[in-house]
Amino acid sequence: MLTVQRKHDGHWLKVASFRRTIGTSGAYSRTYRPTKRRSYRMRATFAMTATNTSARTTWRTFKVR
Amino acid sequence: MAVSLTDPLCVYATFGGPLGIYRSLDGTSHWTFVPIPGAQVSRLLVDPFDPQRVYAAGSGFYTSTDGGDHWTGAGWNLPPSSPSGSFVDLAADPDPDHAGHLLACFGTAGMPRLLCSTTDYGASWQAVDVSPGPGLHNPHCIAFDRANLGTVYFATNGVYKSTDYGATWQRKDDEKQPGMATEGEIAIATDPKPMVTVEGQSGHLYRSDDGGATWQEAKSTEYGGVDVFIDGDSTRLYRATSQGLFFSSDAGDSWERAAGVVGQVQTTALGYADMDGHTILYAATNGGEAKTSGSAAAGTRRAAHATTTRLVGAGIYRNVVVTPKMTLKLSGLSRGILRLGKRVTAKGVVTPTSLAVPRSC
Repeated sequence: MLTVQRKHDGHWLKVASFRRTIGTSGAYSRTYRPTKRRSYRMRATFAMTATNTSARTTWRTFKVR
Repeated sequence: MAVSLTDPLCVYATFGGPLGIYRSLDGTSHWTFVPIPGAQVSRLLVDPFDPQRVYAAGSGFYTSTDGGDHWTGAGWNLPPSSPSGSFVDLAADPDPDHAGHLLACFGTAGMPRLLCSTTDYGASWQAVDVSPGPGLHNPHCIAFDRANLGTVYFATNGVYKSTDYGATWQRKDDEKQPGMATEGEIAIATDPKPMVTVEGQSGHLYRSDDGGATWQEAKSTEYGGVDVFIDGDSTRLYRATSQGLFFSSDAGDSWERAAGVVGQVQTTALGYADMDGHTILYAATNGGEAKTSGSAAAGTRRAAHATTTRLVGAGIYRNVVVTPKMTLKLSGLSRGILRLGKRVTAKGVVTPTSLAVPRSC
């Protein structure tokens, strides 16, 4: 799951999330086009399965100008 | 079933049979019967501070100090001194300052079960007074809280909690939830969110994140069984049930059937250990028929379902639960800036995704 948040009044608001299926290589990819000039951040999470524990990345922040 | 804390491939198991236990030193690929003369073992436990010290409890209490090679009966000095009783549950205190402190539920035919305590590795036992509790009927499950030393719970006709190593007890179940007043299983998570869960009637699961002060019923029920938070992780709850092994990543609100045959047949016990950053999960089953269904080839007007039945042998099955690493990189940025109207691309990889190694004995 790829989650996108946008900063609003000092708080982070969720603006989008995308569920992706991981292939055997473990690779994933997704593009996103922000619509406002704000600060954004993205994070990927991996759901627990029968043979994997859950995992997640740290937030990656960027600005749109 | 009991798994060594220092050697995750060393597993001890009992199937309730007489005269001894089984031990595997290679993660269930091979088993050796270890005789314990006169014993009928129902519970096994590896000491949390001495992996060579193993306890076997059932019709008596036996201790090994050499990893199960040799056993000695500790005798029985607990009133009523009845040799016809048996141990129902056994748990070790995780406080290193209280090594040798064990709690046990002991039952004698026709009499209420007792909660018992030892501070000398089982050499001598004392009955624990739970009064002024409203009534101790049948202590069934004992669980120490590893994150709060001295705190221990047990389930009987309610949930009792002690914060002084079992010296005094308070009833903690929610009286407005009569389904909790049963001989359920207790599981304790320590992180990322501390949580105590109690399995109530008909598989209903109750959880508390404030040490039993308040309780919430989980949204989903999935049969009754043995619940375990793997490594104390509140996002990794497993349940061994009569319908198979299930797991939940949301503290019991939703359940998913485990992959493979152990998700299809009755599972009776769970064990786990960490090795090389992964979790080795052991599940015991009495065996049975595992049925998988699938639809026939596409194009038929009416889907014809084919069912495949597989006979699953009784034994202990092993699975490696992978702890994956995950990366994320954003491209399309210039010094952390994206121009309005442009796209940012998120790319990453999860490694490894699966190292499942099912084994059976």
